[in-house]
Amino acid sequence: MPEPVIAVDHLSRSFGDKQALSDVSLAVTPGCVFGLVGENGAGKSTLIKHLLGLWRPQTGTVRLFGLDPVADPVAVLGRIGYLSEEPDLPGWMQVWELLRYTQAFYPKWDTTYAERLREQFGLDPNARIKTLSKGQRARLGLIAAEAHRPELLILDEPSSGLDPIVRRDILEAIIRTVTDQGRTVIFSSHLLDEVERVSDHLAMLHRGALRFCAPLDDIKARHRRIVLHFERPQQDPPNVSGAIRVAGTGREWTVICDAGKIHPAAMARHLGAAVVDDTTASLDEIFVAHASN
Amino acid sequence: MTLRLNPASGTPLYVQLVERLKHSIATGAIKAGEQLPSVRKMAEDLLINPNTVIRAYRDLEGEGIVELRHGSGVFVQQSVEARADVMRKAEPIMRSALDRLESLDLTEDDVRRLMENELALRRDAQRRKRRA
Amino acid sequence: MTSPTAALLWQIWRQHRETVAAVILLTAAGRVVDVLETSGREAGAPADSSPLTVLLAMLAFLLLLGVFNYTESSGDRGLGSFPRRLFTLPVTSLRLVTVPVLAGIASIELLYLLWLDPLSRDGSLSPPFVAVLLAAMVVFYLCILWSLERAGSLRLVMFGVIAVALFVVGMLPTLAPTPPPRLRSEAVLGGLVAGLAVAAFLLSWRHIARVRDGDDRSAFRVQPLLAWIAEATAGSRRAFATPAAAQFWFEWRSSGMVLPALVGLQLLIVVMPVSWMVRHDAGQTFIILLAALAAPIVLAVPVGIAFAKPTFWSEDLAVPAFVAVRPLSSADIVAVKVTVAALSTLLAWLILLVFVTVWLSSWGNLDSLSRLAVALWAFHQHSTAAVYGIAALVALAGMFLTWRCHVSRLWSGLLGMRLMLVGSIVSIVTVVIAGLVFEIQQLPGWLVADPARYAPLSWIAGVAVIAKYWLAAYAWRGMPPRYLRAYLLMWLAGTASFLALGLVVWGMLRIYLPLDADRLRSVVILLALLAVPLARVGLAPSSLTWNRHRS
Repeated sequence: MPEPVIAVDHLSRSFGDKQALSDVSLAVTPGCVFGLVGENGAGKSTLIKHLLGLWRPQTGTVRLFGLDPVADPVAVLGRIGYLSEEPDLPGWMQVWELLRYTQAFYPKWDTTYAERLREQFGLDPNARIKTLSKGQRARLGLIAAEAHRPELLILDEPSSGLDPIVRRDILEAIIRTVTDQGRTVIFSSHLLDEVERVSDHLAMLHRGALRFCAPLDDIKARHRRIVLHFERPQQDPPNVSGAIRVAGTGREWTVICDAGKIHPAAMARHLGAAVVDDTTASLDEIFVAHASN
Repeated sequence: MTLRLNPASGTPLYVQLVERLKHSIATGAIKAGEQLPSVRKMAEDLLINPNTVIRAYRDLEGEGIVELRHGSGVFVQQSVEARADVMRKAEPIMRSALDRLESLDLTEDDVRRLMENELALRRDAQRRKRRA
Repeated sequence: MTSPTAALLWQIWRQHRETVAAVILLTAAGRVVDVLETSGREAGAPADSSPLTVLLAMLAFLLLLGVFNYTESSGDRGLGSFPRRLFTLPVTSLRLVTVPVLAGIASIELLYLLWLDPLSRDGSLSPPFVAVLLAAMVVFYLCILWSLERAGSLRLVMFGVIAVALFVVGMLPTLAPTPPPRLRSEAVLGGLVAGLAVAAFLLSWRHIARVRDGDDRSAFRVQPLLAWIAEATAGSRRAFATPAAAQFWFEWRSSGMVLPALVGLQLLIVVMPVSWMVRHDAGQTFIILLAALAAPIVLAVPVGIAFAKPTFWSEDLAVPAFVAVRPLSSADIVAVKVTVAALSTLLAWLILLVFVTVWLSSWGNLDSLSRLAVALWAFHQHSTAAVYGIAALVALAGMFLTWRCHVSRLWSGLLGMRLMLVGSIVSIVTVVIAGLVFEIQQLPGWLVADPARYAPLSWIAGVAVIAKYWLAAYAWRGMPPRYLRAYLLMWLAGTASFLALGLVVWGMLRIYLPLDADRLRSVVILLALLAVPLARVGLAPSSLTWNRHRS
């Protein structure tokens, strides 16, 4: 097994009373697209900031390419491209100035590639950044993050608030990165359909804790959605042991559960209900089920 | 190629892709001997993970519809024409089976559910065999 | 709320309750201090309010201006524009504009009334004239804030210029020769200022009404001109050679021109007119020259405080992600900042020296300066080279002092702790106030008069020097050697020039001083060794690292 690009080990972080991350451990293998999902405030941005060395771990370790981003920022950051939710690009700079400035830091910057992207995105080189729309700024941030073909592309909720065309550009960038041998992408998002399309691995954070971290196919295979029909309307949700979430009213109840742990027919018999539907749960349902726990 | 894949539906993305490609080949939109788009291009056009495309192509290769030539790309097999014959031969088999099921007084939904169940069982078995 | 006007007024008050309380407190404190001072003074002594009272008055007036900062910003930090949300109220634009202006005028006149006794005691200016000037100041302040929103923080600079101009106008009637001619009389000047204020008010009313109707064109087409200038002077678009060069360009564009611009501005707006007016008076010219030479040093202090923050123009003390994610070490970033400060200082002094040359050779009154030069020439064995050398040393010392003020707060500002920043500002203000209260200009004379007084000073200075170098060795141990070499060169040059200047001055004053001049010389040497920051700059990268990777 190749050395993981990112290795987070028992990372914890609290801000005052609030526990932002509790005992998070994950490893990202090279060449994969790693999706990070979670509701607002679950800790995704905090985790990513730890990866960049912007936060020092309170307990646990963070290693990128085997190096500590706090102790050795120059070596780590030179191999990373980063795009954040609201890229804080200086408003007074012009587009060409920003590209020229960013180019100086990365020896592997490909000027033709950057120029091609700039034309494709329709960015006027002489425009000042403060006159650009939000989507254009995101595209510019994407060029700055991508043009040096970094080994690791880190995207922190890059698509939030952007129109579908810009979101498409970002997804294309993710796919371009990962089709190049050995390059990895980690991105956090709460647009689950995007995550589902492009991720190999998926991790979910809920209130700072890691709920699951596995290949996407495994996650989808493991979760099943079972619809039960009761003869008599139930007042309270039926008690299904091993279920992640039970929802519904009256006679119809939907159970999201771990497929390995529950046998639908046996469970239905035990509860005195009939199985109406038994399908793979959609990622949306899996997410909501874990988030409501 | 304008294929739309729906990640939220119950079927995995690679299965959807396989179905669409098969449909395109069967209808003649992609001819025998023609080269399919590279993994990279397909992934970028559809905005899906390249591994999904690789898996779909491998599945098609396993079914004998396409051929992965190292260094050149993915090509539709010449013998695909023969597939059309096979499909035509399969039609009456399906018809007689459906007739017999209908005689058991099953509705269309029942039949569909039975077929999907059977296919799912076969698929699981195949996957388990591949992993082992 | 019975009427829209009452609602608008209530909002102003509610938003700035604490500031209003502070103003009232300051006024009460100032009056109390004034009463204490005047009662303590003997009868018949010149009835002038002490500097402390004046300072408190100034603070009160400044805070009042802060209360009437009638702007709101849309998200970005910093100064905003006229509150857009008021446009949806069923109130005419005239009322929206008039309410804050009239309220401001009324408040400042009220405050002036409360301070009337201490401020007009010396009887030079008539209260109605001052009242007109104050009212005009409020009007100009609000009009600038509202009409020139595109200028951003530059508006405060513009207002500063206008405030100084008003101050100068206020002084005009009292300048020689008195009684002033018709044109310079209080009535005419007051009328002129009032007329300008009314014109400014009408212009800003029209601007607000236009903006409300959706016509958002800026009245001043400065932006295309600036863009054209930037394009023309863009220079090459070649790639940067090193990351440090790129970071230098970034820092320079962000904050490099601030000190030179401020120095140039005050030369143009303050020194030039005042020097013209006092051109017949040799003594006053000399004083103005000294003030002009001291100006960059004084200006470098607030600039240095802002410069010490990770971003010059933002109040946010955290390192912005834009910079923190660059593969650039903290030592590189600090080195870039120090270099930008040095270049900035150089440019500012260049402007100053060019101006002084032009001034002294054209309309400057060189009498006292020539007398000083002749005295120096005579003292140093009739050598003109010595005179020029001393002049050069003074300029050099001034440059290093400016650069020192620009750079010395880096270690505390880059830490990113708001407490440190506020602490440094408070300490400076306290020193200034203490200096004014205790009349610190008499300190050197008092010290030198009795040798026993500066003996402990030499011990303190000696300990300080030892502590400084020990701390410096500790601070610089982790830094790349090339930075150490470069900085040591700068430090040596600075210390050498301070030493040389100190020794020259001591050499000249030795004759007029009582015994134990040698001890004074050692104090001078020790102080010169302390002047240029060594340890503080060495500590700055560690501060930045601490801030960059927050715990």
